[in-house]
Amino acid sequence: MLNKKQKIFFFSLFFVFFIFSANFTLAIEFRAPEINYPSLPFPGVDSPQVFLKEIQEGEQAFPLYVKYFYYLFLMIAGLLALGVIIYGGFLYLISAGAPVKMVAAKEQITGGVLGLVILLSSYLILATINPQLVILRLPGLEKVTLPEIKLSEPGEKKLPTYFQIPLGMIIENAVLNEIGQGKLNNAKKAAEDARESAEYLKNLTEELKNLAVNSDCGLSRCNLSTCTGLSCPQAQSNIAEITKKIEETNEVVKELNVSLMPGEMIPGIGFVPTGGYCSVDYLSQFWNKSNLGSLWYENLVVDAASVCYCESAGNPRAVGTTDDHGLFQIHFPTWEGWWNLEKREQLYNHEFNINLAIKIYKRNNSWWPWVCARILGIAE
Amino acid sequence: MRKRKTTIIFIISVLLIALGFFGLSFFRKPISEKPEKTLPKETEKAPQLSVEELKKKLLKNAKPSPAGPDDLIIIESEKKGSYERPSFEITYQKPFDLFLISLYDKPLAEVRKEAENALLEKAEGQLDTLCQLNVLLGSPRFVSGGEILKNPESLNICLRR
Repeated sequence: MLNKKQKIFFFSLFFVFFIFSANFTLAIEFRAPEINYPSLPFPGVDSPQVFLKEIQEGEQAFPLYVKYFYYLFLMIAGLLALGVIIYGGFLYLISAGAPVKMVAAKEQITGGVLGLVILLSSYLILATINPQLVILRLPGLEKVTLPEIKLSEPGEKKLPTYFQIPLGMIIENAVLNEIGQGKLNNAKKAAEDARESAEYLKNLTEELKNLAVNSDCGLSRCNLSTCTGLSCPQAQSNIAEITKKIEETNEVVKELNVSLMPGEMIPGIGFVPTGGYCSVDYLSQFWNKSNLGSLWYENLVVDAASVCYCESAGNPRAVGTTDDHGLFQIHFPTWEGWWNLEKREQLYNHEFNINLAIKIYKRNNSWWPWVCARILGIAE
Repeated sequence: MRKRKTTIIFIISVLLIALGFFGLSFFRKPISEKPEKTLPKETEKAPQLSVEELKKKLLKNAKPSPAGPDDLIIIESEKKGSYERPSFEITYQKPFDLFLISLYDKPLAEVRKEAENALLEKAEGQLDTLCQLNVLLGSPRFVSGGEILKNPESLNICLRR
């Protein structure tokens, strides 16, 4: 028959064994606990209903549970110890000098304090016994990768399947992403301009051909009865016409060569920005389109934009080293008298500066007053 | 009384020994193992701002320019260029929603790099959003001599991503 001590010993042993031999289920998804655990007044100690919500993938709930219960029991045990000490103090108070009662009360208080000390130093004790006891971590579960299972209908014959690669779509997407819709529009516009110029060039060439055919001087084509061909004075006038047409053709070819697209840079020629004060969109509102031919107008604005960007980089506050100011770097001493300029600060206003640049351009019928125009080959 | 005390101490001792014994089989883990979460919160990547939020950030403390109320000066380089003015300046042109980076010193490539880095710093490293803004880079003729920058409508730091 076991005595009382042995009973307590074995009960404790089995209690501890069953508590620690139980396995924790490592569920993939955490559910909200069914019990509402009380929240504890310790900083950094969350109740299970809080930490289960915030738990990260791969993180284990077990250590958090242990931490929570550790602090919960610490609090309960602390309160009990406090109660024991108070009770001991009360016994001491009512002992009325009786030595036996006083000793019992003192023992009660000492026991309470001792229990409290053991409780508070439990972490230290555990770490001293075995440091691994304070590292609360269960061995994790490895991720299971299932092999891909291909299901086929019973009795169905397996046929090879060929997939069509949407090359057209891939190329279209690649081009659109690479160049961008805006640039495609610019390219389209430039192509239309080029087409217009090419048609004009074709007409000129046709006229040139007709003139050349009809410019034989003298009776070069005769048959037995009659001769055809122009007389020499008529042919002379045609030659003058041919020369004029050739010059016109050269001009059109030159325009085709110098045509710039906004946002594109042509080495040695310049750059036309797509946005800002030096953009074609912005500058075009300052020119009167009706007085100019469509082609001339567009080229003029493009030239203006490339000169503007080259001169000031689109900064209306740009101040050059030789008293040049604003977007078109207008030379104050030169134009001060011509246009009654009062002060240099006027030229920082972009509208004023652009309008003045147009006046200067019209006065000279050329971009030559601008150094950039000469660098870029826009003016001689 | 003394017996009770002895019993309590005995039970606690048994508990601790049992815990030490059985605990070994459950908490096997090398002591030297590093903690899993090594990244402190401070080094975590800041959330990405939207384009509008970034603009607000960049335009915070922007100064009005003498060119007019539509122009705002965001950054002026502290370093002086060859022309007694900052080596670069970054302005915002409201009507075009455009960030203009003007370079006032040579070599242009180096000054451009400095300017782009200054803008990235002001944007607090929000490179992805920064690359979505409209930008125009350039250098006036009196600095560049007519030389045109490569890719003047995008930041080089965006091309290198």
